[in-house]
Order: sequence, then structure tokens, then C-alpha cells
Amino acid sequence: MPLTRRGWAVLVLSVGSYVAGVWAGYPLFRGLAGVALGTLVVALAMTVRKPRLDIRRDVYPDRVERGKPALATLRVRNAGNRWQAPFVAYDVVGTSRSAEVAVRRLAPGAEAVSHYELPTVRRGRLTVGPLVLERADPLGLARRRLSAGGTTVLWVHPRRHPVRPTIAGRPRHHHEGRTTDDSLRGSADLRDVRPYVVGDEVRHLHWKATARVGQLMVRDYIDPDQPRLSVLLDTRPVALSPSAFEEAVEVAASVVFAAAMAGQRCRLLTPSGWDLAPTPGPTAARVLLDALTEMAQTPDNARLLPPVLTSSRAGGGSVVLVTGPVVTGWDLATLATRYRSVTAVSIGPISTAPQVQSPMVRRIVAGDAADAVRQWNLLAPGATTGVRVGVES
Amino acid sequence: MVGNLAVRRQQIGVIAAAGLAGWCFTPVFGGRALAMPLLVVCLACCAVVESCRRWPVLVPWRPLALVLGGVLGIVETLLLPTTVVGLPTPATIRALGSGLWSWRRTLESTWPAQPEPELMLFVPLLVLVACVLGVELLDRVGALGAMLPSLAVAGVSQTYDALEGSAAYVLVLCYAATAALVLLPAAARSATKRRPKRRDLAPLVAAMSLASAAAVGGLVTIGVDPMGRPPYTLQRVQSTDLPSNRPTSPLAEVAGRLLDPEAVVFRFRTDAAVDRWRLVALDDFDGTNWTTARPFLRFGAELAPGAALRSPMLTARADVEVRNLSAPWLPSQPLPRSVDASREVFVEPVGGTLYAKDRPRTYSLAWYTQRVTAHQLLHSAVDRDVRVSDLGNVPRDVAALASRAVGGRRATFQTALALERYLATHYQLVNGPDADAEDSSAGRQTVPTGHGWPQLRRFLFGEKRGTSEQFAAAYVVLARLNGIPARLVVGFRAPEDSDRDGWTTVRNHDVLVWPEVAVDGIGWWPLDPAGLASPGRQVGGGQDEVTERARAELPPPGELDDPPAPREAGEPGQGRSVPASKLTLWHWAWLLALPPVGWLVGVPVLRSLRTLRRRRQHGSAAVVGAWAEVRDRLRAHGVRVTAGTTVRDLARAAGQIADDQTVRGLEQVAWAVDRALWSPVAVDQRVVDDAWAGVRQVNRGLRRRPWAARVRATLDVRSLLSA
Repeated sequence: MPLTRRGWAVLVLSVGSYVAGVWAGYPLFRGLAGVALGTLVVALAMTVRKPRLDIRRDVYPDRVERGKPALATLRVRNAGNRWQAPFVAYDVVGTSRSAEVAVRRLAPGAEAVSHYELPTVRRGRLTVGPLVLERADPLGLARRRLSAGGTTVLWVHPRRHPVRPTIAGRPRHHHEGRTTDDSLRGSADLRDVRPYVVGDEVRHLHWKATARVGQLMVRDYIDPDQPRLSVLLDTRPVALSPSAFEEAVEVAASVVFAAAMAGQRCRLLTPSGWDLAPTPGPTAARVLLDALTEMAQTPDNARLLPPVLTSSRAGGGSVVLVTGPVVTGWDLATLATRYRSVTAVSIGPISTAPQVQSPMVRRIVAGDAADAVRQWNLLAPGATTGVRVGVES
Repeated sequence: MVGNLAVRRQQIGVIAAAGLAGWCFTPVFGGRALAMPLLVVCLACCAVVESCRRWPVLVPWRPLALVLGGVLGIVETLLLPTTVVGLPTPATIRALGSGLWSWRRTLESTWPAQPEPELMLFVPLLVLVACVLGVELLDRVGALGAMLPSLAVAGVSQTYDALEGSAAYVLVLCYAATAALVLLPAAARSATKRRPKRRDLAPLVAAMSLASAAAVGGLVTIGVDPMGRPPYTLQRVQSTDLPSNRPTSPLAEVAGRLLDPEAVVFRFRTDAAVDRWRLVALDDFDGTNWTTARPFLRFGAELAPGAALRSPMLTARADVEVRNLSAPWLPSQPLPRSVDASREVFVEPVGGTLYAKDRPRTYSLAWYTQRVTAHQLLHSAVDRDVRVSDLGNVPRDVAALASRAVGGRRATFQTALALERYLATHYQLVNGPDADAEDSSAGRQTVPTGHGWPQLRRFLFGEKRGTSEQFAAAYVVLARLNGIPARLVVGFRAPEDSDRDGWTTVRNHDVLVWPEVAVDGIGWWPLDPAGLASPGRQVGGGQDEVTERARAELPPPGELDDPPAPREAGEPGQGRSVPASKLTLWHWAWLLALPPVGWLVGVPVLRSLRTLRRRRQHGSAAVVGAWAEVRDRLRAHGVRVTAGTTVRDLARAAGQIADDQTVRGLEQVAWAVDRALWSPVAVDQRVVDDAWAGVRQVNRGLRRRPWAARVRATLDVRSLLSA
């Protein structure tokens, strides 16, 4: 029975009152019980009918920065052939509920449109819907919750601060020097023309050279070591408190977004093993931000630097380390030997930050994301001297 | 602001509920006495609550302020005489303190009780407690919890005297209304607040259906009592320990009084016909003593005559001046109504016995007298609902005499009269010191005394002479052995001659013991076997006169015949009137049934009348009437009609719910409307007929719709209102 707590209390009271009234012969108590029971029956009858509704929900925008407005538009159409009494409904947003939406009385086939603002105060992936109708009597004795319609997803991205993109140097002659082996034949940069060996891609045969040399020659495509920004976000609870972690996510999102929008290759890593390197392009920023939206602290005792960052083949690009106040010199030194540019952003109380200094490492120690980004922008190359286009490797 | 208003509404509801619960004490004290204290307490609480809302700094002190305000209200209404220019004095505090026990004193009183502060003080105090608890619980426990204190007060009131019938129903409805005030949610959410008012029917419909269900539910549960138990009342339980030390029975003093015949006992003055004055009614006999175990109660404001009495009632009054009565019994009448005395008077309502611990010297008594005819009396049965105690071990010869005396006839009032006649003819009355019975050895005059089995046997089988004491005791014993409920009453015969000052003096020689039998519909009726036995007796006024006429109509002993057995209860023609409460409940049922019946019948009738009126018009008005008719018909069927809708628009809209015939009918009406409104030629009857033919066609088309839709359309009120 869809009785509320008050409804159950009234039911128990009225049954008790009726029994007392009959046993003691008190018409007053029998009457009170009768009044209460009559009211309960009508209250239940009011909530029993399920309305036939078509519900469409649009969320605009579907991806929104934390704190920016997002609007849900709810279209409720009466699909039954009877008038639909006015009702109050709300959407389930994540684990909470949205503001109440009052839907007016609907004729058969009529549609009511309501708008309401979605809560974007917390980063995360929000499931909006289903619409929950509460049918209740005026005295609050019976209430029935009916779910109607489907769900929509709203991505609340971390807040981004304006950041100068990292410029860690772009090699002029990228066909020389280091290569990365993790994308075999993945690139289109011609490095060499060499004799054919069994197993080579036939489509890569270089016919002019073959004609000239007299044996089958193939183009050797390799992936050159292009400049890339690796952002390591510390997800260990020992390093960052939950609030500091939110700030750290904002820093990471700001840096990654700026780099991705500048067309750089970005890579997002965490100590727990996340390693996301989307293909550069307009979608990369979205993929990275989506990943950061769902990023959560993972309670494990992993080391700060994941093995992929410190393996022998790693290195070359720039690394941004977003972590808490405690950073060991060993970690910084490991990175500094492998990467051209290392920036360590420590979010947390400034006084507790250890004074690990290294000429190879830019240190940013800030209380929150805004401060960290401000310092970043001051330290960024080109902040005072203009944009430097590239650095010889 | 809305929340603030809602809280105010809830607090007022809680206070009103407490006041209503206090109002449930009206059967005990009467509404007039209770109204002022209850109103003042409730208003004081409202004022305090309002002040706390105005000055939030007072909120922590609210319970204290409520108590102080309420107590001040009680003091100013009930205890004003104890104050000095309205300011409480130590006497006020003492009165309040003793008021804590007023609930007990009220239980020891008859109802309605005297509206005195020492009796009714607990009612406003209870209401005040319910107000304080309710208002405080409202913030802490919630709306339903806040109603519990007032419900408890209502329960307490029912343990005193349960409300019944219509009064109970009205109170239930009022209490339910206050409960609705409290239970309605704090924020009234209106989904349609931006809609025009006319469409905002849903909350109204919801409220109406809740209210009517509540009203019907209350009516059914009050009217139908599955077990039919009498209401439990604390009065019966509580009052038995009152006066614990009973004084000597006046029955023991009868012989003594006869020995000093001229001593003045009391005097009285009245305009009514009085034949006797009673001191005590005794209905228990243990073989030796006659006693009564019925409880004595404080005499309240007024006594009701009792529901079982069906004769018309009159009220008589007398002033009594007590002179020489040793015991604290006061001369009384069988159905006392009210006593005006300077001292507290107790009453045993069944026997009509008055008792005063501290006897007043004078008092005035009002009592009920019945208009009973001799014929009615003679043809009445005895009241079998009256329970009299068992006689215990009856001597065998007395039992044999009992059946011999009445000839084995059934217990009726005629049998009771026959038994009286038997005693009067077979036994001799001793009405004072007798020379035959003089105790020569002691040198004193004596009269027969005693009323136990040995004395009765001596009277019945031995000497066959006795005082009214033996006559009455023997009569009661013999009557009870024959199944006639009878009791013994001790009192005085009222002398016929009054003094020069208008008062009548009652002396010791007027002492009389007489039996009373319970007559169905009339109550306890006095007989006088001793008086009948005395040769020069005089018949007094009042009941004696009626009895005397009945005696005259009584057939001789050999011709007495058993009347036909009474019909079983419930058969028609019994002549019993329907109890007033049931009747009024039926009225309520009719009242409740009126709106739905009015709706079911009234709406179709009104619609037919409207159609008739439209059809009767002339010229273009009749054509426009036809258009209005189809418009309202289709609106009742759910077709949306606005102010700008034309007939052809309506035809299009109607096509969605009805068939082609309806649309064709509408087109016919449209044609007629065009002719009527735009043609320069005057409208002739042909156009009118065409228009109404179109209406009939529309009606025929609509008749093919599903029956549920047609019923809805027939009963649709809005199409009627919007005309």
C-alpha cells in the first residue's frame, strides 16, 4: 500500500480508536476512526491511477563545465484519452532530485513543456531521469512514486582555467633521432627506403627505387618522437585530500584542455594505471575531459610514477605532474633525466611543501587550482618574451 | 511567508482541537458553563503563540508563557472571586491546588454537575496541558503527534460521559476539520497557480472527496455499533467509596417515631400535590436488614428523569425546613431534579434519596412528576430490566404464601395491586401504641417492630397485625417472590392540612414505610398496603390518587385475568419511539446523501430545462440557441470550445470524437446560423426547424459514443455552468 508514514500512523490510530470505541462503547472514537478510515480510502484511491504520459527530456548542453548552467527541457505529453490532473514531478539527477516541476492539467494529447536548471556544482557524470511523479493526497496520507520516461546523461566537466599551452619544443627534423615503438607502422613519416624482407607490407613497395636498384625496395614508415604532453594526475588519497584532489583535477583539466586545443598530443596518466592517449584532434579534448570527469581517487599504495613513464623507452616530451605537497626528489630526478621539460604542480598547504629544488624541474606550489594556473601562466615560456616556437632537441 | 502562515494555521488547529476535546465535557458540565473558560484558555494560548512569532526571542520560553497565560485565563474566568481586582491571591493558588482534584469530585457528582470551579477546574487545565503539549510537539514530532494530546483529552472526557448520536457526530466532524487544518502540508503546492481560477478544480475536487468520505465514514461508524456495549464510565467505579460510614437506617426508627407521635419532623411548603416524602429507598434484603448498595453522588446542577420513563414530565417545587431529623437523610421525592441548599447535598438517583453530611436547615427541592392515568398504570407490565437483589433463603411457608396471595398470576401491575389488596384484607394495621400490645411488665407502650424473616413470619402467619414497616417489608418480599421488582421506601405521609402560614408540618405519626414496584415506562410506583388496611384512611393527591383510581378499576379477586403476553421487542406496533439520537443520525445521512443525489438528478433536469428554454425562443434567438445547445453538448463530451470557435470549427473538432452524423448535424446548424446572422431576409420558422433538426442529428450521433463517455457527459456540471 502506498501509505506514507503519516498514513500508517493514521491507520494504526484509527484501528486502535475503533477497537477502543467498540469495546468501551464510545461513539466519538468510533466516529473518529470512521472519519480517518474514510479519508484513508479516498487518499489511496487518489494515488492509485497511473497516468499515461510520454516524456521527452533534452539536456543542453550535455557537457558542461562545473558551475556553468545546464538546462533540462521536459516535454510531457498526455498519451491517454482522459484529462490528466495537474501533478508535481521531479527528475532524479544522479543520486539527488531536481527542483520540482509542476505540470499543468493536460487534455488528451496535449503537451506541457517545463524547463529547469540542472545542478552542476559537482564534477561527474550525471544521469538525469527518470521523471518521478508523486501522486499524493492533500493530507499527505498516501503517496505513490511513479517513474516515467527514460534517462539522459549530463557530463559535468571539471572547471577549466585559462592556461597557456605547454611548448616543450618541436624537432625540426623529426625523421631523425628517437622513435617511439609503440605504434608500429602507425605513422606516415618516411624514414628510409630499404630492401624488402618477407613480412613487409606489399603496399609500401617503392616502385621507383625497385626499378632503379633491381630488387624489391619498401618504404620504411616510422613514428617519430613527436612532442607530447604527459600529465600525471596523482589519484592516491595519501597525497591529496578529496578537496585538494578536486583542485588537482581542475589543474590537470586546464592544462590538458589547453594542450589538446593547441593540437598537441596529450597523454593522461595516473598512478593507478590509467593511461589515455587520444588521437590528437578536436575530439581529444572531449575524451580527456570526459575521462577527468569520472576520475576518482583510488585507494592503493602504488608509487607515484607509473612504469610507463619511467621505462627506458619513455621520455622526450614534457611531463606535468599534478600531485600533493609531498614530492620526492627521486621522482623528480627520474623524470628530469627522461623528459625535456618537467613541471611539478603541488596542490596543498604551501608551508608543508618540501623544498626539493632542481634546475631541471619547474615547481609550482599552490593552495588551489586558480593559484596554480596563475603561477603556471607566469612560468610558461612566452609569458614575457613571446611565444617560442621550438627548441632544438 | 507561506510557511509562516501554514505554521500559524497548524498552531491554531492544534489549539482548536484541544478546545474541542475540552468541549467533549459538555454532558458533564453543560455547554454554557464550559464555553467561557475553554474559549479564554484557547485565546490566551493563541495570543502567546502569536507573540512568540512576533518576537522570536520568546520562543525558548514559549511553554512557560503558554502555561502562565492559560492559568491566568482560568483564574480570570473561574477563580475571579478569589482574586483582588483580578490579581491572584494566596486563595487563588489554594483554589488552583484543590482544583487538581476536581476531576475526582466531578466523578462523585451527578451530571450535569454544578458549574462550580471546584468541580470543573480540571477541564480547562486539561485543555491547557493539551495546548502546551500540542504546540510544542508540533515543532518536534510533527503534525500528527501534535494531535495526540487533544485526542487524549477527548478520551478522558469520554470516560466521564460518552457523547452519543448527533452530538458525537458533530464533534467528530469539527475535530476532523481541525485535524485537517493541522495535517495540511506546510507549503501548499499548487501545480496550477498560473492557470485561470475556473480551471482550478482539482484541489477542490480532492478536498471535497476527502471531506465527504470522512463524513460518510464517521456517520457509518457512529450509526453502526457492532457490539452495542453501554459506554464505559468512571463514575460507577469511582463513586462507590463515597460515604463510607452510613448512618442508621430510618427503617429502624419507625417504631420509635410511632411512640412519640406528635414530635415535629420537618415542614414544607409547595403548590404541587404531594402525598409522601421519602427519606431512603432500600432494595437489598439479607434476611435481617434492609439496605441499599447504590452509590451516592454529589447533587449536580440537574438530574435527568431517566430515559426509560416515557410519560410526560412536569416539574414541582417545594421548600423544606428540617426540624427534628436525627440521621443526615433529607426528605425527598422519587425523581429529584435539583436541590438548592446552602450545604453540599448527595443523592442516590435511583432511589431518589437525599443525604447531607452537614445537613442544611432549609432547602428547596425541585422534582419531576409524571402524568400517568389509572388506565395506563393498570395495563402496564412490570419493568423486567430492573434488577433487584436475591432474597436468599426464603422460608418455605412464605414462598407458599407468595404464590397463594396472587393466585399464580403473571407479574403485572394488576398482580401488584392484587397483592396489595390481599395484604390489606388479610392483615391489620397498627398505627401507634396499642393497649393490646402493652408490655405490662415494663410498663411501656409498644408497637410491632422488626423487618427480618422472624418478624415477617410472625406478621404473616402469627399475629397478622403490624405497622406499615411490616406491611411494606412483607409486600416487597412477596412481590419479589412473584417476580415483581419491588423495593422498600421509608418516609412520611404528607398531611393534608397545612398550617396557617402556608407551611405543612410533618410529625412523627406521619411516618410511613411503603413498597414501590417498578412499572415499565413509568418507573418506580408507590403502593400502600398499610394505608389500604387502615379503616379511616385518606387518599392524598398525586400518585396516591392515580393508584386509588387504578384500585377502583381492578377486577375482583376471582375475575383477575392475565393480560396477553407482551410482544417481543422489535415487532411493529410496540409504540416505542425511535431514540432521538438515531433519528438525528438518519437526518445526517440524508443531508450527506443530498449532494450526490442532487447531482445525479439535478444536472440532467437542469440541462433539459435549459434546452426547453432555448427551443422556445423565436427567430434568430432560437437559431443561436440551437448553436449554444450543440456547443454545450459537445463541450460536455470533452470537445474543446473557446470563445472564438465557430460552428464549422466545432464540426472539425467534433469529427475526432463523434461520427459523420454529428458532423453533418453541425453543418446543418452552421448553415442555419449563417442564414440567421448574415442574411438580410428575416429568419423564418423553416430555418429554426432546420437548426434544431441539426441539433437532434448531433444528439443522435453522440448517442453512438461509448456509454461511459455518455454518462460522463450527462453528469458534467461544467457545461451547465458555462452557459
